[in-house]
This record gives sequence, structure tokens and C-alpha cells, in this order.
Amino acid sequence: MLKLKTALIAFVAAIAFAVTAGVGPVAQAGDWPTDKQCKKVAKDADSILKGWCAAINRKGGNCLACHQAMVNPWPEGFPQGGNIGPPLVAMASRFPNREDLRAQIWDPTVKNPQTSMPPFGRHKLISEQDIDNIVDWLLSI
Amino acid sequence: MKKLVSLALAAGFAMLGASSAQAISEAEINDDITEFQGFFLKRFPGLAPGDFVDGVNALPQYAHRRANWELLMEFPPYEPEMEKAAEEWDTPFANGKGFKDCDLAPANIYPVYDAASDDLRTLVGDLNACLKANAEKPIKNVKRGKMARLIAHYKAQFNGEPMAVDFSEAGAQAWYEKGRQFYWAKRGQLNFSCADCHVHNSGNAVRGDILSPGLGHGVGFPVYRTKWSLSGKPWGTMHRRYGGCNKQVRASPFKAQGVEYKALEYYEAVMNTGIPLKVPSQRQ
Repeated sequence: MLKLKTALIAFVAAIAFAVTAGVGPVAQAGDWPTDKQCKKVAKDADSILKGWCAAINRKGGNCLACHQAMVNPWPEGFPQGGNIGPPLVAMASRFPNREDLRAQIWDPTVKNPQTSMPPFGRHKLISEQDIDNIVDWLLSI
Repeated sequence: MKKLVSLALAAGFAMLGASSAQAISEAEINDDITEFQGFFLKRFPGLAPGDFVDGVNALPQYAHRRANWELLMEFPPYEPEMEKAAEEWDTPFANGKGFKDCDLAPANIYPVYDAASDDLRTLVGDLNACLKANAEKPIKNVKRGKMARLIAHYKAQFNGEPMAVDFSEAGAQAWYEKGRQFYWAKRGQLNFSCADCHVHNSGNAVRGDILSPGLGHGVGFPVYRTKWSLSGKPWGTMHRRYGGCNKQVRASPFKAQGVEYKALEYYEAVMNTGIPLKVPSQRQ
């Protein structure tokens, strides 16, 4: 039964992908995986999807511990983010310069020494590649 | 609060220059207490100082889960353990004496500064010293189990007594300064200070959890935690919790009853001056 369900989800996701892929550059509607589903995300998945997965992983960026993220639709049954940091919305307009956003994740203490946000790059909490992927994801939402 | 941060920062930088801790006066400590407590009273309007004894349960941000906790407290899960604690407390030593004969301070004034040794006396340390003095084996595990039960039993006799730690001596003020530095300094791979979570972000949500306010920290310890009871070790002292906190920010924990945590316990106890004891406490 479970197999059937998975197959069905995969089928629906595939259709959704096929439909949206033709319309826009980013296929995301309906396919934001939960952290469990992220384990099955292919190695050659696009950087946006990988960025989302790195962001929600508790041993990765764990961004949702402090931030809400506005992805649509929110994965069913997946707990909402915290409210310590500002919600992750309209990132492309808030960070017109990609490097500013990357620098903010790499070491937010440069702009605000008292910030609660960990210096993800400087303290090697996640890889440089993960940071790039997370930036890609953030600029897509 | 900003002032307190910059003060801590300034003191931190000054420490780099001078090897000894910066002197802080009794008046300055009193100002710190007023500022610290005032911050929380302003941040959580409607709460009286005494309400903070319930920790996170006291916060409006936690209201949706308070009912669960209240239901749990109708038959507190620690009650059988408290009966066991009373038995352990009343069991006489081999020499016929018992814990009741130990030279202990009232629970609401710990940690106590001892000028002769320039050290802080904690209740845990005093109980072990008493065991030794009576030719009994000191309790090895000072973070959980029997030691936590014994101090829960003793401190519960003082429930309702307001915290009143003495910091009038210069040596005590140096310990206070050490604890204050610890509380406000960022540490660990995640780069959090105690204050980052329990002052600046108290009441905010880390995913599904609410961060407890620094006001009220410690007055309910030892704590009986649901999380810890899953592994069969429900009790924890302040220093067990400190170690857990340090691990969570990915810092190496310090030794229970070591200098760092004793200083931190002292700082938190001073910040909670006037807040009544409510021991034991049950938390998730």
C-alpha cells in the first residue's frame, strides 16, 4: 500500500514537474520535500532543491530553528519555523546583490557582532557548497 | 540591557589587557539586578516577579501548552522520587549521625562565598563535604540521581523563601564578575551566549520550543525532566543542565562543580534575588 502511495506521489510530482518545467525555470510547486524525504533527493538535483534540503536539515543549516520560510505549499505535517530571526521572504528584493546574502550567511557577525545567528561559514558549520545552494534557494523564494 | 551587554563586552576586552578580573562593586551588582529583572518585567507585561518561578510555563507564548503541564502537576511525576529522597535523607551514617546534622546554609542563600578559601560553597559541595567529614563516601555523580534527590529534598523545605545570595565581599564580587562574563560571552561553534537565548530571545520560538526567561532560572532546581526520564535518569542539577546547554551550542561542557559552572550558578542566583524557591520543578 505504501509502495503504491509513494509511486502515486512520484507520478503526481513528475506530472507537476513536467507541467511547471515548461512554464518557468524553477520547478518547485508541490515538491518541497520534508527533511526525511530529502534523504532520497538525487545527487544531481538542482541547487535550489539541494539548498532547501541543506537549510532544513537539523544537522545542516537548521535555518527553520529560527526563521520561518515562505515556500508554497508548505510540506504537509512539517513543523513551522521559529521566530528568532526574520522570516525568509522576498529574499531577492531584500538582497539584490547575491554576494551580500552569501556574506550574511557566511558570517553575520560582521554586520552585527551581537547577532544570535551563527557564522555558518566562518565556523565551518556547513560546507561552502551548501552555502551556495542555500543562497540559490533563498533567491528563488 | 544594551548597557549591560556593552558593559560585559568592555569588561571582556579589559580582561584581555589585565590578567585579574575587573573589580565590580556591590552597588553596581545591585544595579545589574534591577536592570536584569526590569528587562523581563517589561518584556512580559502582566507577569509579577514571583510568576517566573514556573519558567517557560509562566509565559503567554507558552499558554497553549501550559494546560498540559498543569494537568501533569495534579499528580507530579516526581512524587515517588521525593519519597525516596526523604528516605535517603533520613538514613543515618555509619557513625549514627545523618544529613540533618550537616552544617548547611539556608537553601535560598546558596552559593555561599567562603572568604577563607576564596571559594563558593554550593549545596552539592556542602553535602559531599559533610559525607566526607562523617567518614562516608562522597556521592560521585553530582549531576543526577541521588545527589539531585537529596538537594531537592533539602531545598523543598525552603520553598517560598526569596533568593538572597550575599555578594558584599570583594572576593564574592570577583566570582560574580566571572559568572557574568560567562553568561554574556558567546561560545561554541554556534556562537551563542546564555543571554542570546535566555535574555534577548526569551519567549521566542526555536522551531517548536519556547526559550525560557533567564529570570527564574535556578529557583526550581533540581529539575525533573520528561526528556531525561526517557533514559531513566529524570533528575538533573543546575550543572547537568549547564553541560547540556553548552553541548547544544556545540561547545565542550565544563566539569560539574568546577569553577566555571559555580561562577555561573552564582551569577544566576544573584540575578534572581528576591525570586522565591519552588523545588522541585517539572519541565519537558
